[in-house]
Formats: sequence, structure tokens, C-alpha cells
Amino acid sequence: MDKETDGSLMRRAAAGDTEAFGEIVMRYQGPVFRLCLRHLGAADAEDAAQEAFLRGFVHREGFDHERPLLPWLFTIARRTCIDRLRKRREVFGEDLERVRDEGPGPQVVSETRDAMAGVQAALSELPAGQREVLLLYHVEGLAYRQIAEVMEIPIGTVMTWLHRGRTRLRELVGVKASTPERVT
Amino acid sequence: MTELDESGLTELLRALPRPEPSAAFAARLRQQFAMMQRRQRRQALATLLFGLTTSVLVVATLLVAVVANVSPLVQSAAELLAGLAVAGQAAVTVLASAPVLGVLLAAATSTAALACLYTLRRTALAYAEVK
Repeated sequence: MDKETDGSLMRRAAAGDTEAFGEIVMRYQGPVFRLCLRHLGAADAEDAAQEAFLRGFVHREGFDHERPLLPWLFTIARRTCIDRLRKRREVFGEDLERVRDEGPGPQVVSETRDAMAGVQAALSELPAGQREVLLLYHVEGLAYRQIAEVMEIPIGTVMTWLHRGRTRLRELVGVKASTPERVT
Repeated sequence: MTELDESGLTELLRALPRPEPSAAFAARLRQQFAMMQRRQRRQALATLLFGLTTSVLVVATLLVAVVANVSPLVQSAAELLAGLAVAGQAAVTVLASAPVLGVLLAAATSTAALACLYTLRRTALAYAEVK
């Protein structure tokens, strides 16, 4: 059976079909959650992801039914995260740039204490923008233009960050691979 | 260390663990969605009721205003008619007591009518000439 298109699901959800909305959530909860996790850490990621889905539904008239849903959801999720970071800064006086530049969070790091730990560590050493571009391109499969829209940066910057991120990651992975692992 | 090409990098990054939200995530979100739908329906209903109430109030206000203004109009029209009736009765009384006045009145009216017709004819001729 053919998979129902995002546009069709959005239309059904807009008409109040909870099943259609549930299907959208099942399709994209992972990528949206991971984006929020990278921006906010484990504490707020689920709440932010839920807020992003609901915001997406509220602002559904902004969605172009001919285009894929995931980049659009990513844009909303990213803005939701930035709003939450701003609130945190207002309430707790946290430094926005510092929070943004956090790695994937201790939970994620602890989950990856295996053969991939080196790659994960190398990734967390990259600047936040480069890391995000790398993950959106290589893991989530977004195109340059889509990444530019999600991150609200010029397409040239996407290409530059992607190039620098790849180069740096290759160097770091190379260094870590050549460093013998310490057994504790 | 072999150089990682683009597909190698993709493979490497995709092999990283991908954390998923908790099992209750989707169920909770569906519940929130249903609540939001109910809230939106309630808001729409409240807006409709507000609109209807406002419309009824506006119509009622207009009706009251019109009726309040119509009443004095009707009253003044009745007074005018009564005045005309009194004047008519007085005229009939006067004409009945002196019939010569009636003849004079008829003659004056005919003269005035003829004068009007003559003036109209002159005006029409002048207009035709100008044309």
C-alpha cells in the first residue's frame, strides 16, 4: 500500500482527524525530538518537540502541501527551541550562545559509550552551526536549500559550514581513531 | 586511517545512536491535539453566540429607535389632518353663507389657470427658438 502523502495527512488533520495527526507525529517524532534535544538538552526536549508539533498544526496555513513536511517542522521546532532558550535566559540568566553550543547532552553521551563514542565526541567538539548542518544533511537527508530555510541562513553559509564541518570531523575522527582507547 | 568520503561520513553519522522520545510522547501529543480541537470548537461556538447576541441587540436597538421616532411623526401627521379638516369645514361654512364668494373664487381660479397655461406656452416657444 502506498504511503499517504504529508499534504494529505495535513489536510485530514486540519479537518480535525486525530488519526492523521497521530500519523504525522509517528512519522516525524524522532527527527523533531532529536533536533530539540541538540538545542535544549534532555530536560526540555520532549516538551519543546510537542510544542513544535502543536504550533505546526496551529500555523498549518503556512505549510505548502506540495513540499515535504519535515523541513517545515524543523523550522518550527528550531524557533520553538530558540524561544525556550530566550525564556531560560530571562528567567535564569543563562547565556544563549553557551546553551546553544552545548553538545548533545549528558544523556546522549552516556548512551553512546561504545565504538561510536569517538565520533560522538568529535561531533560535540564542532561549533553548533556546523554540527547541526552536518546532521541535517547526512542524517536527516535534507537538501542545502532546505537546511538554509530551517536554520534561516544563506545557502552559501550552509555549504561553507558543511565543508568546514566535514573537514574538521575527518580530522577529529582521524585523531581519535589513531589514539589508543583507554581502558578504565 | 582511510580518508572518509561523503558517503562514508553519512554512514558513520547515521550509525550514531538516535535517541527517540518516550513511549508516551505520541499518545500525550494526540491527547493535547484533541484538547486543542475541543478548545477551538468551543471558541468558535462562543464567537458565534457572541455574534448572534450582538446582532439581536443591534436589531432591537434599531427597532426601538425607529418606533420611538415614528410615534411623534404619526402624531404630527394626525394633527395636520385635523387642522386641514377644520379649515375645510370653515371654508364650506363661509361659502354656504355667501354663494357669490364661490363664483368669485371659481373665476379667480380659472384666471390663474389660464395665466399659468399662457406662461407655459410662452416658455416652451422661447425654448424651441433657442434650440
